[in-house]
Amino acid sequence: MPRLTIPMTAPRPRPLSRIGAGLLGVTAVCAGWQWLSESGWLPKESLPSFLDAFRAAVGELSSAASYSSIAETLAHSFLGLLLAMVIATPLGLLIGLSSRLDRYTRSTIDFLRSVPSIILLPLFILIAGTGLKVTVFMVTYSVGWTMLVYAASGAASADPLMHDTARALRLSRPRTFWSVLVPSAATFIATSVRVTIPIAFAVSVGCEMIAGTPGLGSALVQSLIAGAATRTYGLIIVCGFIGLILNGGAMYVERRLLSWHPQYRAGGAA
Amino acid sequence: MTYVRRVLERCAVPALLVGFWSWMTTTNDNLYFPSPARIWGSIANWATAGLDHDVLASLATLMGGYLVAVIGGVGVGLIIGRSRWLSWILLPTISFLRTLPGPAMLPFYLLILGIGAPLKVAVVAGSIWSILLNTVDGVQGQEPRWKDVALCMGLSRWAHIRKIVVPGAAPQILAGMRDALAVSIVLIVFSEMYASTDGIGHFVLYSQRTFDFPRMWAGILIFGIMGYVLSLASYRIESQVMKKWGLSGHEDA
Repeated sequence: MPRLTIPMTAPRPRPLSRIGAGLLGVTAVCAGWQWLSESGWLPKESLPSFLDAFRAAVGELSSAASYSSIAETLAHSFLGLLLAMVIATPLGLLIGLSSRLDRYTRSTIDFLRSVPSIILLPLFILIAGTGLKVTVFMVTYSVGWTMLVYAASGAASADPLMHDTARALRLSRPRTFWSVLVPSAATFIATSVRVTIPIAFAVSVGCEMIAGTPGLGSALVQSLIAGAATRTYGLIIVCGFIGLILNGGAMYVERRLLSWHPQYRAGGAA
Repeated sequence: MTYVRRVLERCAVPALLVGFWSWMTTTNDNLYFPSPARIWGSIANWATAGLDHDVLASLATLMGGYLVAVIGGVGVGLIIGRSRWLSWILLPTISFLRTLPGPAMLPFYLLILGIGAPLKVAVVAGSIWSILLNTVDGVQGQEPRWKDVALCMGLSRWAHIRKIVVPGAAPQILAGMRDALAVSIVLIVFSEMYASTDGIGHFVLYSQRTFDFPRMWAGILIFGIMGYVLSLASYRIESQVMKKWGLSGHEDA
């Protein structure tokens, strides 16, 4: 691999026609929704008009109560992610470094990883109650295995030549860890964070809906039970926008943090 | 010898864990963590009283929703992927829908469809987005010369899609299907816990709420095994298809 990869072509700006087409699509969907509701195909209690729902979404964004539920959901997601990262990433690096450890733990990890986390929710409610802890633990469990596997592949992907070089230079163990292992695993770890952010958000909302932990999920359930269809739709729209922001933000941060890495210098995402 | 060693490597840690579990649970009696023997007793009990019904209910909904996601995702993905304008028009909307967390869509389906089987199928089919977007990626990322080849050979549009577009996009489609299966499995449990009177998700939550903890564990174990078998099966099918079409194998990570 060449030391320096100079991007042959700068990323082209999106043509205006493309943005226009996208806007057209969004407008068409909103107009179709409005029409479906106004024409009375579906009762208003099932499908309030788009404009009402959108107004409700904007109203949610300007009410203090919604701010706290958004903040709570985000707190659950990020605390869970953080906990998973602190626990799973070092373990994954360790497993990636030792092929013996990898062979012995593989069957167990593959099994636990494929157990859908949500089935454990009743158990977690028993152990941790229905407050903040249960949702955070669920997020941690849901994303932890992915993080572990990514970190393990990252550690295993380090070029053997780098290890030999480190040994030839008689680098100390911590030094080897920081200058060989971490840089080569960094892309894997960053990718693992990016792919788990949407999962963490979805798990938080789902958990809040079933366990009743305060947050966007329980706000959704409450408005549903209260029969406030417009508010329910407003909250769903809010969830969508938060998801969009989280996704875009994660991609941006990943590219920024790893701009030094050859894979990202080429100009494309991983 | 190597075979014996491999079996040993695979079974050592699980055996240790089960051993540790039964040692812990028999030495101090914890209400929440029953011993393996009691969990096994619950499974045996459940087997005579509706285990098959619950498993089949979950599997049927899961497969129904997953099929909708696969057929819809691949079909719509092929159409969008082959038209530049259509992809420009629709992709922003689809990206928005994809970032909506699956559970948040449940109230929407509940309001439109009411409680019942269609609700659960619709929630499970929420995994469609990764298949759809992957299919679009796979179709759009294809070698442009393949299209020229199809033109030279005088392939009909249908033959072109069947012989060139689909196999060419297969790695992405299959990867999307694998992701979608995992999402579907989570969503089926979620919908059963929220709005259902059967299925394993309902069984586990109900057992917990009625303080029958060995039964809860039995449900978790059975569903865990189901999830494992399904993901193993999808992995196998994926590698078979890839091999058949002469595509490179898995790139895990």
